[in-house]
Amino acid sequence: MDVRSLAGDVETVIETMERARLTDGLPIVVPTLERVSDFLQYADRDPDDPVAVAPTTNLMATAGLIAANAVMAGCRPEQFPVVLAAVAAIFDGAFNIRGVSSTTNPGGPLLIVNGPVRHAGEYNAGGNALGPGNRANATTGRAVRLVLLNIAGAEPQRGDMATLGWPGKYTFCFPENEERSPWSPLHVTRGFNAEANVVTVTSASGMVNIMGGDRIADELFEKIAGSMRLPGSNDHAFGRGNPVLILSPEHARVLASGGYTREILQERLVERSTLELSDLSSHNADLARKSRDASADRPLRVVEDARDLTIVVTGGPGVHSYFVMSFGESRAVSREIK
Amino acid sequence: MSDGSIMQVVWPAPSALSQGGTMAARLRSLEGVRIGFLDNTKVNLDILFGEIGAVLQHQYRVAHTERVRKPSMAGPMTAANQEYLRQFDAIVTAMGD
Repeated sequence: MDVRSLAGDVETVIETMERARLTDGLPIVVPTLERVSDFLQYADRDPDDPVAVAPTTNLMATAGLIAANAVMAGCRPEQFPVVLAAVAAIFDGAFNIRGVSSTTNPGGPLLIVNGPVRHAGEYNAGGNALGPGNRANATTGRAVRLVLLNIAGAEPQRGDMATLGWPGKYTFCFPENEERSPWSPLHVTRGFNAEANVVTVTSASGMVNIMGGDRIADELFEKIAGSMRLPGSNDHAFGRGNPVLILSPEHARVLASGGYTREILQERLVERSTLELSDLSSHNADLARKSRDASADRPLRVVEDARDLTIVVTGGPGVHSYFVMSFGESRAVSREIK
Repeated sequence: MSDGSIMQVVWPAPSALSQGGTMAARLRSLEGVRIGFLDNTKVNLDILFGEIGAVLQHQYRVAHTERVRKPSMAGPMTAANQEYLRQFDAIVTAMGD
């Protein structure tokens, strides 16, 4: 590990690291040798253990480097194994971090946590699961952002050319509310045992709120499908992403009671949310023709394979769900948390 | 405010050199070299890369320029793209918006 002696009190060291462009703009926790060592000890990792190579820089993200960034983000040691698995996932070639991280598109990684670690790590899958108030949700996503900044070269306007960015690039992590989902957990649908701890990363570029206390499943279905028809999104232009439908437990229950399984919902939503090439602007239509098998007689699906529409249940009481747009050229990747 | 204390801090950002990496050597001259342009399918890329290619050949005596197209704007190049590009002395990797 590169251990440096910095002079001054905590505030001075935080300022020093901010001036060195090592932060996301928010104050950090100083990654002292003692704190980083605690994280490594918790996860039983050596500082130089290789975790994954950042495809954008060819730099090795070691356990020590990731621990330093996780400390800076404000993680507790209990969240460090989740961060390690998430970093390995975003540097998997299928995730296409080169595109996701450097693009003018607003997007960044979204982390979904499954398994018993949700409880051990004190993640919040209830009310405000995507909002403020929970340290584990907030800092796990932030740790991955700091890894992108400090190891993967995603410095704003140098390696990360986002036109606008979006608040989800500071942090975007939540656990599935497996206990209140009518369907099997996300990680089980992706081939893991129910008892496994898994983090799934996918790209997220923005969200559409889907509101309403519908009690008729088919009406709720139609509203969700309509909320997915977005002529300006990357998904309809490129069609090779994993957009995410985040259902509140109440919405999921209404759909399930109307006979919708996750698989039926995926298939019918993808069928029902298609756009015609003529619904897109001429520029986006041109992109679609160049990037996918698009023609006037073939509707544009948000994803080609309905199974690529990720459906997950989280949150507390209430009648709001989200459709999360993806980068459109990035595959979701899951990694077991060890 | 500094109180004169020293903190032992783990630096969170590695450098290429610290991990044994090296920078590619710069070309000594453009004269007689072959330059590849990775075409990322952006609008007007053909015009811009065409103009740059003409300047490189006529003003700087570059021997050959060639565009190699990857499948889509946002996705990675293919293994075949990568293999084909090995023949060039230098590569322009993309055009931004």
